[in-house]
Amino acid sequence: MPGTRVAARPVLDELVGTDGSVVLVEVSGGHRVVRLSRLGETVRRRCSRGVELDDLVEQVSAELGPAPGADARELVIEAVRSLVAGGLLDTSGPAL
Amino acid sequence: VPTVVDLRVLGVAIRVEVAGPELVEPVRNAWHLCLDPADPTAVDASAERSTVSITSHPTDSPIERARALQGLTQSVTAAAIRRQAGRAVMFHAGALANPQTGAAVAYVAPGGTGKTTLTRVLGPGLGYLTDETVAVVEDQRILPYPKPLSIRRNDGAKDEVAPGRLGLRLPSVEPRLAALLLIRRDPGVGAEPDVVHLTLLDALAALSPEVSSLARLPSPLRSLADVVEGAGGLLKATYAEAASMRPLVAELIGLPVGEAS
Repeated sequence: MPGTRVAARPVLDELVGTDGSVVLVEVSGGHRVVRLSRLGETVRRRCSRGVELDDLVEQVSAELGPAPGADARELVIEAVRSLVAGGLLDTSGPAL
Repeated sequence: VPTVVDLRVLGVAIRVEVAGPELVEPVRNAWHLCLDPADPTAVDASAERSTVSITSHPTDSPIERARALQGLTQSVTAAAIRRQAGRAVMFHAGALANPQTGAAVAYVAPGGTGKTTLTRVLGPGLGYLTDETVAVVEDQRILPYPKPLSIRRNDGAKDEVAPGRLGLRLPSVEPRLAALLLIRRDPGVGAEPDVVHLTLLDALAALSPEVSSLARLPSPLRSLADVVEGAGGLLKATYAEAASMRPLVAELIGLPVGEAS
């Protein structure tokens, strides 16, 4: 949504490859490794210092190129929702 | 005064204080591949030694003694893992080696899902390294943990069985991790195991629940990735019967299939 701000939470460690990344996060009682797709890795990286959703969509689309047959904005929002659910991102402002 | 039994497991010295004379020989027998020949009075050794204890009473039933021995195995494992946290990459895994070359395969799985059975079925004739925890240090070296095998009895209790009683022996040369398997038992799989190669990132995600103290390692994900890449990647093997894994294990440690038996 316009005005929604997205920011990445810090992780303990990260390893990036050509097909995405894995991140090591602290969870209650231990640690967990989360696998991110290339889209997920790009979204998380672009949010490292906090970013407006509209800017995020623009930056991710510019980096990854067009997604044939899909709405880039919807793809990014879906990725953000998934990363928020996984405890890797926070949002503020209008709900997605 | 407890009797002392000194062990060397996962590269660290563990002192077992046995309170109860009837347990001394069972402990020595069950842990025969881990007995530490080092001089127990050496000052530097004692500074680097952890101590665990096991207690029994003359009136204990056989089941109570079996439980005490099982508890000892858990205590020794926990103490050794604590000591190596942040130093070795440690998997919940069994491992067997080519007895002549030391090339080893580790098979990673959660507790109670097939590691001990695979070790018992495929281990005789190979080098036994562990059925519980594989610790990998620099140059893919494996620190052996040839513990007794916990085998469930008909009454539900578990016996800590000496590896030698099951035909398991140490390899004659220093073991190195040559191959890494993530195993899963599924009775629905056919006569041959279903084997797939995972990409590095998928491998790290799949392995991580079975890695001990991952966050304590320096550069944890890179350290884990180095071990996986050094082993030629991670293979996920799904199988119905342990014996069906024999040809794959033999191939991975450089033995002709007919010799891994």
